[in-house]
Amino acid sequence: MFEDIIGQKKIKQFFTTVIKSNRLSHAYLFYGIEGTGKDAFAFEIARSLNCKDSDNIPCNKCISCIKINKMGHPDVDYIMPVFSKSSDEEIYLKKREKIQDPYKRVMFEGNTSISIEIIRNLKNSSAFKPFEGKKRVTIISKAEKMTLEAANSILKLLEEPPKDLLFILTVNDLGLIIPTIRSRCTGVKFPPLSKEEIRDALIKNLKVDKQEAETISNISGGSFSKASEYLQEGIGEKKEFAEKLLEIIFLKNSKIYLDFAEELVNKRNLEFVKDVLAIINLLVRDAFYYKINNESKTDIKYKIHDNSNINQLVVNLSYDYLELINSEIEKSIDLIDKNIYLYLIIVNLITNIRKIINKKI
Amino acid sequence: MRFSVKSSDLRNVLLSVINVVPAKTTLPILGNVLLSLKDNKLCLSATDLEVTIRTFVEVKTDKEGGVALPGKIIGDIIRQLPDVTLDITVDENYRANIKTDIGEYVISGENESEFPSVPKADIKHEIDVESDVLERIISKALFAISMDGVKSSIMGVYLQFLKNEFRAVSTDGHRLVRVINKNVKIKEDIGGYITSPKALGQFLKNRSEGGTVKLSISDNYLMFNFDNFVVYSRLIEGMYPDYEKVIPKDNKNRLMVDRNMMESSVKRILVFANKVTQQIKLKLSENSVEISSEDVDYGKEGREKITADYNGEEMTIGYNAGYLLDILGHIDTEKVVFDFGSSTSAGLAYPSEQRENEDILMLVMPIKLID
Ligand SMILES: [Zn+2]
Repeated sequence: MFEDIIGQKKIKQFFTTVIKSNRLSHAYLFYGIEGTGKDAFAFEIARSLNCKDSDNIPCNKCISCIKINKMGHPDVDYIMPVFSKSSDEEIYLKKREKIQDPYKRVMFEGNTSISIEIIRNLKNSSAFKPFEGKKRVTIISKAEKMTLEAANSILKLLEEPPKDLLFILTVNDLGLIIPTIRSRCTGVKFPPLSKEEIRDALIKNLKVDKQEAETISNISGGSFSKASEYLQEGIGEKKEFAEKLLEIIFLKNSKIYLDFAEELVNKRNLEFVKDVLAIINLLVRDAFYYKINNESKTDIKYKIHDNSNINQLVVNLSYDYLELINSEIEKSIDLIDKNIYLYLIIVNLITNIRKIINKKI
Repeated sequence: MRFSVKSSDLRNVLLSVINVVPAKTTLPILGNVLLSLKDNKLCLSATDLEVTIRTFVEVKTDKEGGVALPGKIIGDIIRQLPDVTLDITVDENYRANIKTDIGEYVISGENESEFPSVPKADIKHEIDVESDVLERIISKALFAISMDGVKSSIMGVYLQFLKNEFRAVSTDGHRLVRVINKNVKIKEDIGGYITSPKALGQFLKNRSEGGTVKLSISDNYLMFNFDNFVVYSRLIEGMYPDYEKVIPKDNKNRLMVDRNMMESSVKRILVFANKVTQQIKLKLSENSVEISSEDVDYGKEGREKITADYNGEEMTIGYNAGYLLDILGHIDTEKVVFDFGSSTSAGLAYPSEQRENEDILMLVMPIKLID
């Protein structure tokens, strides 16, 4: 059980014990950042509970495992946020894409939700005993996307769940889920994966070479989804933006950084901008580590930069400034999540970092 | 797999199976009809996960096998085909080739093993019931089930098997029907099962008159075996409400009235009732009942008095006219009997004469009248 799941040793142990001793709770709430294996666990639990093999569970070969892996098992349901106009066909294809690679960020882009209609259908179907005979499992991915109406409607089901029905709700941020749902589920925290776990998984699962795996695991923030996205798209363009920002910060020409902010905003992709900021964070950290460790290349912590200009940036700054700059960047990333006007965030960030640096220079 | 069959032999069985294929589903495999071929028998089945139907037709084959084919396409073509012989071959990629004298058609299917399959579970109980008896019990009880989806246990019909006594009960919280038949051989009490109304509907639709139905019960299913069919009802989880508790035992005010007369009167008075509440009033007085309604918003009202046998207390009771019509429509004696308690308590209705071994009871809650 759980062989293909990255890291999360404690959770693996927990569910192995609970499943073997048949002491599952009726509803779990998996929470933690994207890419830590919440959906992967949910699928594996669904397979394990329905597998027809006697000793190698889940076998991924029996008809039950195959049906689950094709999202065609009548007792296993995966609910995700969708558009009201998404067709059944589109939704089904997304679900299949997800179960084929549970660490992949699979979703409909835009203003999606889990509507009251979806929960009503769930309530109707959950009234029945299992179709094929074992345990029904309903996974609600990104449960925070339930509309308030939907969330209220599911409460009773979570409180008095039908026999043989296991609920697994997953959510990236526990704070986004209403307390009445939280209190009806057993919470399971999915901590960020360690850099080593991500590095090893990149090497083992995706056959990435060691050096690249090292770099990517360092900037992926404990998320394997992010790591594989970096791997696919490359971090080249994002890194260029990050380096450019650090260079222009030292120029006195405000037009240049207004232009830069505009260029970045024109990427029109919040995730892209967040990644750029995360890379800036690491670049700055790298530069400081480089400086502190007597400028020995082997001591660069995150190993993401090969641009010696960056090192020059911090030559005159003390270590305290690292924290200040990092906290400015973290603040900006938070603001992006809060839907603040992006252009303003970037311009403010540049201005604030300049203020910090200029105090010294 | 390969077989030959006449379109006229295939048409009816195929269409009755396709009837269960859901028009809209989040599980695409359900859009298919499952065909499996063994011993010159072509088994056809379909499911919407609530009801599963299986039937068969004799065919000529030289290669057994199975496939799931899209229900809509094979349904549309079988409806349109004249009487011809179909030679159907399915290859290892689940592509079906259908040859007839007038043409050739190709459809892509799916692996039969990916189709949801009702497990061959242990049958816990088997009961034989005459098809006509079962039809009567079910069609009397079916109408009162709950449709609002709030409480799942009352969304089905409760089939209860007591010693030599078969019961069907349904309720939506505002009304209740209980049909008892004491002429069914049941060796011992085996309890009750909440059954899918869709499955009951499929039984009613596909059964033929006469004959016997074998009901088989497993942990998760109640199966209707009749003629060439098996209809599987997935059972609804949960406890059925203790319905006997809500049936009043001391309603002393008895009304006996002509069923047709009352039905047509209620239908006319309903015209003048509020569209939303459908509220009408029954004013009971000696040997008459006055049926009336009013809709203040639209300035309309109606009133009729019909003669009836009544010598209980005078009272006025409000009812949902739709509920009364449901009751009147499901009673098949010339006269109908109501037993009332008070204007705020549950009223009971029955046929004026019960058939031998049969006991039909309907309960309806009044609407509180505000004066
Ligand atoms: Zn298996």
